[in-house]
Amino acid sequence: MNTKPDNWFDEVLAPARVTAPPNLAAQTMRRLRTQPEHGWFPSPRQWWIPALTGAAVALIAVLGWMRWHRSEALVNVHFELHAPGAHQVELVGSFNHWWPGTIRLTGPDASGHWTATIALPEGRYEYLFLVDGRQWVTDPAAVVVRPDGFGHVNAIREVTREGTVL
Amino acid sequence: MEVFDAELVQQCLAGRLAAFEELMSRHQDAVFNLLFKMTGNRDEAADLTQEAFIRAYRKLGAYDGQFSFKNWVITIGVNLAKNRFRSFFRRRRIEEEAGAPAESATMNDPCVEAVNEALAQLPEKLRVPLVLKHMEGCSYEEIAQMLGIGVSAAKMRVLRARDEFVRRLEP
Repeated sequence: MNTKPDNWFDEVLAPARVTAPPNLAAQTMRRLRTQPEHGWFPSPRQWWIPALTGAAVALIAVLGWMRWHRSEALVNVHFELHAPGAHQVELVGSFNHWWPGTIRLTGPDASGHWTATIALPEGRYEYLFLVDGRQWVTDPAAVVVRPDGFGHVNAIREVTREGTVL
Repeated sequence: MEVFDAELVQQCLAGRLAAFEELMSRHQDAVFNLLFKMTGNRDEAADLTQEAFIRAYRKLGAYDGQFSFKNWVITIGVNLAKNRFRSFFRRRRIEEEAGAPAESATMNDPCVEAVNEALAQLPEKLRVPLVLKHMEGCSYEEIAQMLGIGVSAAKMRVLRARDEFVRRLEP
């Protein structure tokens, strides 16, 4: 512990005391006269706070829109059935809530094929062809199928942004 | 006849801006000196001093007349400096600038230079009470009030600061 008296510190430290720049008071008074109070808004030297906040909000909005846009992007999916003797072929599945009469395939072409291309969002869909309004036909081209529990076998189509996977 | 600070504050509150200029002229050196000792940078200290007085002016209605005006502005300045140093990037910039050649005119004197160097080496927790006590002539009670600590803690910090200062000054 040092044994220096109180006034020793006063004397040693006194010469190291610095004074304010001569124009500081005048500058401050000028600022007080000309600069209005900011209220809730940050001072001009903190301009980066609203700028950064605005940029962050814009970025979040753009990312959100891109994500939503991606998930809502539609993919054209092609369906085809070889049924040369049919008069009418419909596509019925989970994408139209299994309602017949909403998607009709066009055909037959010269080779007896019926086709339809519909735009679907990404997802996994089950479907069947309904031939002439009475005969349920599983897509012979389907890679994945699943019995529906009512005597039919549903075809399954997995749709991704890159196209149909299965 | 000298006009007391409290009277000048009343004049400011009545809308006389010149009274505030008088208050600032009286106390700006004390505020600037402490902030310079905290930051080691003249520009930063000047900026903080200006900001402290502007805040004081705008909050004058909340000023407690029991407290000395000078100590009140010093408290605002110390808090502003602490808040500013909380920003990592700013602290880094100031530290980089502190590495540059010293700007103070007093640094030409080797004795003053040694004092400043010894002061700069003290942790802020000790440096500020030491400056308040021996450069600004504050009492322990005033230091305690300004730093928001107890009187015994203020005494302890000043005593420790003295020991550390002497140790660094006379290795």
